[in-house]
Amino acid sequence: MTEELILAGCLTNNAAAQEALYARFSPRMLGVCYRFAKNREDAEDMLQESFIKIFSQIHQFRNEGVLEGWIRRIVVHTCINVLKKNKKFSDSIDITFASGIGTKEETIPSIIQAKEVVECIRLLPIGYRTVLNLYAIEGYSHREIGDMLDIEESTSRSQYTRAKSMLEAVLVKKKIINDPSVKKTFFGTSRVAK
Amino acid sequence: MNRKFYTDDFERMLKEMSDEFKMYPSKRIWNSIYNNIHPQRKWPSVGMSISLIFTLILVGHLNTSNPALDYQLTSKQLVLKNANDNPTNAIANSTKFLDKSLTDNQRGVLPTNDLGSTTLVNKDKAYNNQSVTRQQNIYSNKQVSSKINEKNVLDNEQAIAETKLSPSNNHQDLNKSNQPVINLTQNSVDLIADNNSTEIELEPILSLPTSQKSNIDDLMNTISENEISRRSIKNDISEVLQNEINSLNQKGLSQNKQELVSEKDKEWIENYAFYNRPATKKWAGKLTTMAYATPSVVYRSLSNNPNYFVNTNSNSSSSLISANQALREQLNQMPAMGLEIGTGLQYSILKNLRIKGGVQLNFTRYSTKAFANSHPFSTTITLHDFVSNTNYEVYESTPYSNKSGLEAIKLHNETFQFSLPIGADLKLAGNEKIQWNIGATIQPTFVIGGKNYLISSDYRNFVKEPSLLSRWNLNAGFETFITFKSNGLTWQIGPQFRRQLFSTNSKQYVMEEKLLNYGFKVGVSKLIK
Repeated sequence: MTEELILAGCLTNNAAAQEALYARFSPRMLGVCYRFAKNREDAEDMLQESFIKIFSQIHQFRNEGVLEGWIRRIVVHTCINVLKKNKKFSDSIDITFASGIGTKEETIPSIIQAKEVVECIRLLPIGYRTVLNLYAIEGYSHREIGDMLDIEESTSRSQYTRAKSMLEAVLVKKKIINDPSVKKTFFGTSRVAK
Repeated sequence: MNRKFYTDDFERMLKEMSDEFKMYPSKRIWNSIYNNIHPQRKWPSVGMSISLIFTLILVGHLNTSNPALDYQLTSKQLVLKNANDNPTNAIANSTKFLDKSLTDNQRGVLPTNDLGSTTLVNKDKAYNNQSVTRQQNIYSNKQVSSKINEKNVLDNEQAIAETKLSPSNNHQDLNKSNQPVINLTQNSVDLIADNNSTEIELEPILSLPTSQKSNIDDLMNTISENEISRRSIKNDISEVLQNEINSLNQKGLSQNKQELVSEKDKEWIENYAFYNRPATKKWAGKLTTMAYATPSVVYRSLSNNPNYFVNTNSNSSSSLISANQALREQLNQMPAMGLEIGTGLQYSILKNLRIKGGVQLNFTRYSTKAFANSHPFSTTITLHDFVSNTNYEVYESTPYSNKSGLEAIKLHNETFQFSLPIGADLKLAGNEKIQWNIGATIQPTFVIGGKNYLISSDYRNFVKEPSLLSRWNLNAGFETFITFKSNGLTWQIGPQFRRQLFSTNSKQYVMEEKLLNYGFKVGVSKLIK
């Protein structure tokens, strides 16, 4: 079933087309929600809320862009709205220095690499993680993130910098990436100053 | 530069890895989404409420039609006696009462006027005989009807079995039976065909007796009418899409087989969908459906009706108070559990104000400690005559006494009621998730049936007299409750007070009983989109 047919069906509130749309995009969108959420249950709740919005607002979709991009924007905004309702998140997003994260070997799950990376992202404190998700993965600018999260643009930048270095440390420890401070030379490895 | 390259590389890696990451949601999520976007297809709460309502009606009906309830009516002996020892009034009262009694077909009274008293002609025997004969007739009619039904069912099963064994005989059977052939509409035939029925299985249905055929015909017509009404213009496009999906599924085609629908068709579909969008509903987002249950503790307020109270003292108000006090001291009554269940609609007219209406079934009950005796006693209850504006006493027989007797028992004053609550809820505080509200309703009520044990004139006995139950009443309800949202549903819990505004019994009875319900309401509501 083509995307056009699915879209046309969804516009007429056709259940089969809606199910087809859900089947096509829900796995990836649940992955998006999972990166923002505290656990799988919360991610599923976010996904459910997102798709209800998608089906009720599908007539607003203009064929100017990609359907997946439009869906993804709704999902991300829904996730942010859900997080913003949580007081813990509101408090944590403005904290300049978040507490450190446990990076013991056993705390990092090891399944497949994509999942591993996502799980490593989820180890970050929620404020850092949200900014990192929005900036590095969803492609929003710091100004947009500031507007979305009701924080200063500079706060978003600093949160992202810290989030990134924390994540690097975790990924290096997990050996998913090489340590950027160690430079490979002809005679072996040498540590470079940052 | 090296660092910049590394940063870009790192972010790209993060994005790629994250985009590759997929998780498969549980089936429950789609079900919840589906129920949310197609609320008209799933009304479990309404279905449950309707089944509960039917259950209560059935229980009420069984309770009121129990032959044991008629025991006292058929065995009672009535004598009319003037409360003021006035012969003229006595005759007038007794004649009026006789008219009413004869109309009710419950009592036989023939008044005379010897020595200022009224004598009784007992027609119990005749009445009993009549009632027994009538019951027997009803029973025998039921029996006959059930026998006929059993026979029809057996005949039909036999016919179906025979038809399945020898399909070629179907037309012969039809001709033999000389029954008219039912003309099924095209839609009805389609429906049967969808259910994989064959002609062989269909024809024995056509050879049913005429009465059953007409039932089936009605049913089929109803189904076909519903089917036609459902087919709106929008569903045409749904069918096209559904057929497309089915054909793709059947042939096992993957997404790259898109050429089955031409570009022209796609364009038409998109245009059709664009110009046939569902119209926005004015009430969308404002109307909610709700169902609730309220277990409650039921009691009564009981007093002498001040309008009928016989003034024996110079100070009428103090004597009324003392009479009410004496009445309460004589009775040993206690609250019991009742239940209210209902369903209805709420409509937000303002941000903080909703109006509501619905249907509700109520079961009320309170208990009286009494004594049962081996044989009935003769006693009186006091009634009021509106024409002469005097009280008079009616003789009744009852096996229940108030103070002493053979065996201590509990009598239950019960009613089954159907009411139509109309009211409003006001939000006092809260946010999107949790709110505190108050509400009030006025509830026109119809009493389906029940049991009432009335206190006798001398407070010594209890008389069961369902004919004095008032059929119509009015109740007022007050409640305060907390609402909270969970999984697309709004739950509400809180205490509720319900008071009956008029007496449980008819105006004739000189005592005034008003029921009070102290309940705890649990309800669930869902927004209609």
